[in-house]
Amino acid sequence: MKLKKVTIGLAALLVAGSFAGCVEYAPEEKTTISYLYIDTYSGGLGEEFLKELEKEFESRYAETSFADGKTGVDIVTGYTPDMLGATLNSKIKTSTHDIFISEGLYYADFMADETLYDLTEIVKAENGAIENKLYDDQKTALTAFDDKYYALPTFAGFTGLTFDANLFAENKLFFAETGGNKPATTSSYTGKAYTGRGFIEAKADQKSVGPDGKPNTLDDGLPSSYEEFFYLLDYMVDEKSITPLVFTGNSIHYSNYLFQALLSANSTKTELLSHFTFDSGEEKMKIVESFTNGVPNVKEVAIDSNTNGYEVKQQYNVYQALKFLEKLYTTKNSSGGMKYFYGDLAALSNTSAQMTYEESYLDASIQDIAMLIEGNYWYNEAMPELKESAQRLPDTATNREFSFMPLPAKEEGTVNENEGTSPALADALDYYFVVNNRIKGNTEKEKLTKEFLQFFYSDWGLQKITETNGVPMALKYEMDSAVLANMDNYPQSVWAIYKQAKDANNYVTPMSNNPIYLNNTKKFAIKSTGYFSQSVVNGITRMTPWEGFTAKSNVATAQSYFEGMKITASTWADYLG
Amino acid sequence: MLKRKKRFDKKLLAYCAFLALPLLQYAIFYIYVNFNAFFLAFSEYDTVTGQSSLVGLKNFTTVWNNFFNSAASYHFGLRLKNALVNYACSVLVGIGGSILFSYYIYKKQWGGGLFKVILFIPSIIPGIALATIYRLLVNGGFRTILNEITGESVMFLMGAGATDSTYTYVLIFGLFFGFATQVLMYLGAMNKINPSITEAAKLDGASFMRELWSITIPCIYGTIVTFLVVGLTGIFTADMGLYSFFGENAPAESQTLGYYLLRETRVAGTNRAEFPEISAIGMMFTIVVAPISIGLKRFLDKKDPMN
Repeated sequence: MKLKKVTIGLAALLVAGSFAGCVEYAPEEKTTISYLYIDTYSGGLGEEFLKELEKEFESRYAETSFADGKTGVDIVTGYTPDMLGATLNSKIKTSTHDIFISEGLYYADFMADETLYDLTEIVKAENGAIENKLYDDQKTALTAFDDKYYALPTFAGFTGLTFDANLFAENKLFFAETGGNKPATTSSYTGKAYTGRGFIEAKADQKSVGPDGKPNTLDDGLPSSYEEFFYLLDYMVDEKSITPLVFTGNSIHYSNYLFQALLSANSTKTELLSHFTFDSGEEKMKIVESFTNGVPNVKEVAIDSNTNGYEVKQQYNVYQALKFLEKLYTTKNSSGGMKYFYGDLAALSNTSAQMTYEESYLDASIQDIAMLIEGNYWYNEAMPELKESAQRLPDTATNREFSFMPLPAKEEGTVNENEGTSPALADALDYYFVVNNRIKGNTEKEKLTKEFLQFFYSDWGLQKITETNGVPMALKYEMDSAVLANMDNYPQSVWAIYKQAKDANNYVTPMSNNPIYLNNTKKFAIKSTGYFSQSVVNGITRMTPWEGFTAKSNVATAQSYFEGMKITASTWADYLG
Repeated sequence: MLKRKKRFDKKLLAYCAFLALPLLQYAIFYIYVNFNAFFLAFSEYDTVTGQSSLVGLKNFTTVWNNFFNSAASYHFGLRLKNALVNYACSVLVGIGGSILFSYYIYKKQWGGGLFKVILFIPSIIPGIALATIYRLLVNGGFRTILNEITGESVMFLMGAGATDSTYTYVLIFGLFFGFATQVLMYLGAMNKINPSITEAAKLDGASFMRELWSITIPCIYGTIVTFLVVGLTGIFTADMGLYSFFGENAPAESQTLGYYLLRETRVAGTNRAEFPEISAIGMMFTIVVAPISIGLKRFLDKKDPMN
């Protein structure tokens, strides 16, 4: 009998245990105060920003009543490690949270189940206080369903290279405005006589104007063409014993961050956006029709979703970026390893890659590493290690001169003053703010959500978030110059490049209201782990250019990878129905 | 006096309570899911209008063309080949090896207990952690040693930088760490063999290996058949741990059909418009594997030496 009871007890425990994972933490609610539950993906951007907002919001609304018999508000924040968009989509129906701030979120994917709360009224309230901060392409894409808003952008998650400006200065790796040191006469990129600039010969020498062609900007002294970029890499390796690049070899899709950055740098806003809208309006784009002896035959045409939308994948810019990557990944050193990369990539996770990069300058046993392939969130993610280093080595490790690196747009030669380009910049990480539709009809929650949303997207809120984690929000707002001056060098550089794109109206939100995009987010979203960079080479599907160019058999070339990315006219006809 | 009939049987109630959960699970995760997948495979969903419509065999045609009439057709063949090699290895090395090993332990040979512990230790570590450790070991220490011996500068042995060798290391991982489960099952089956049968064999002078071949294997034949048949379905479903190792970016040359299906589901699994094509892939796999599995099961049942 006793055994029977124990068995039944254990079985009951097992059943209860199987449901344990479905229960979210919630405090015991008091009846005298209102509650708002917010969950965020605790990846690279962390949770500090939400804590800052929580404190301020609770203080501002301490005396406000959102329901009869209740005064004030308690914001309960949750930080979920795996709450990316896809996970959220599967959990939102049963989640007790009211608001979510997530990464990799494609709001169209949520529409089938009507799990998102309609934010239109709030976005348009107070003469469009929030809506006025949105870019036009955001407004178009976010109102694809019945002209209503169901999601709002949060962080401007752009990706690419970070460089150590101090290391560059000490080793005179910046390009000079005039003259300069030219250690080699041949360009390894073109295989011909080098046509770029030389390096500064003294720290105080005037730097070149960089890719944007403007003096006194973030990119001064940086390579302005692919030719110069590889000239710099060769100089680092051959003359300075510096390792040019590091990133996580554990998650090879991070290499796509560089692909995304190259595309942003060499594309106009329309060209970049057309990957999602399949429409260039009146603007003609350079499309590669075919190749003759390895040379692309380029035509200039406008892209129209209803006729030739499939041609967006054959933009010359894509081919140009692939040529860069082919050269970068396939150049070998004398022992057969990759010339431009840290040798132990395979053992690095993304955080250990950050740490290796940061430590290389401080630790004499590690060869200096010049650049890191990462998202702009990395500095915030590495903050505990950066602080630890600063405590250990206050003179050399405090507020290091890391900087986001604008990349060149042209292939050969150099950029002179006023001859540069204003590059587009794309959010490649898809950060969004959504509200659980469960609050619909709950007046207390609806009132609270409205207030919080307006607070979150107020100038104060946006500035506070940027100040806290150093990443801009993907909206039109300004930073207070005094606040900006107090931020570390890296977040300042990230803001500078964002502001440049924002002011030139070149910021791109990689989504659209085109039904082909909305029905096929898997195939067209810019997600680094997705199909955006997929190619079929010699019958084999390659998910990243890295894989294609470093394969041991069926190796891709820039041309074959590019051709393998093609969408055929018949496939497009199927999409059009 | 006639006894009044009980309103309900307590034992029956307890029995029903115990059965309720598995039945509910079966209803949701088997009947509902499969019915839904079947319906999805013949339909189309438009995210913009929110409308579903029946499209006949359109999704099957798309999948067929992707498999056999597209630029990537060769890759589907390669995935099938990898899955078949995995099945063959799991039959020869996995089933064969684990039967021998189980028999060794079953016969209480020297060190059997210790081997059992060593074999089962990895099983208590979560799969994802085990995959991470294994990958770090191969790409870290093992690669360094190999580079020292060969004098080369190989950067990766597993992953997108090692398209040629990844499959081999993943296969070794699967065989080695899948060993414990099989040993456990065979050992369980062997322990159920009536000792009087083995005693009689010994008295008749059966050698160590003769007993295995003539007594043990026929007695555990049912378990072997189960592994052979279930393993066959794995040709279309087994991802060999590739998703744990590489997420959505497993090197092309190492992929299996199971990994392909899993990755498609994970990547597209959030947009309802992309569900139908995935369902059609699953249906097509079922159409191929179901008759083969049933046929193999019947064939092996006929060959049961105990019948």
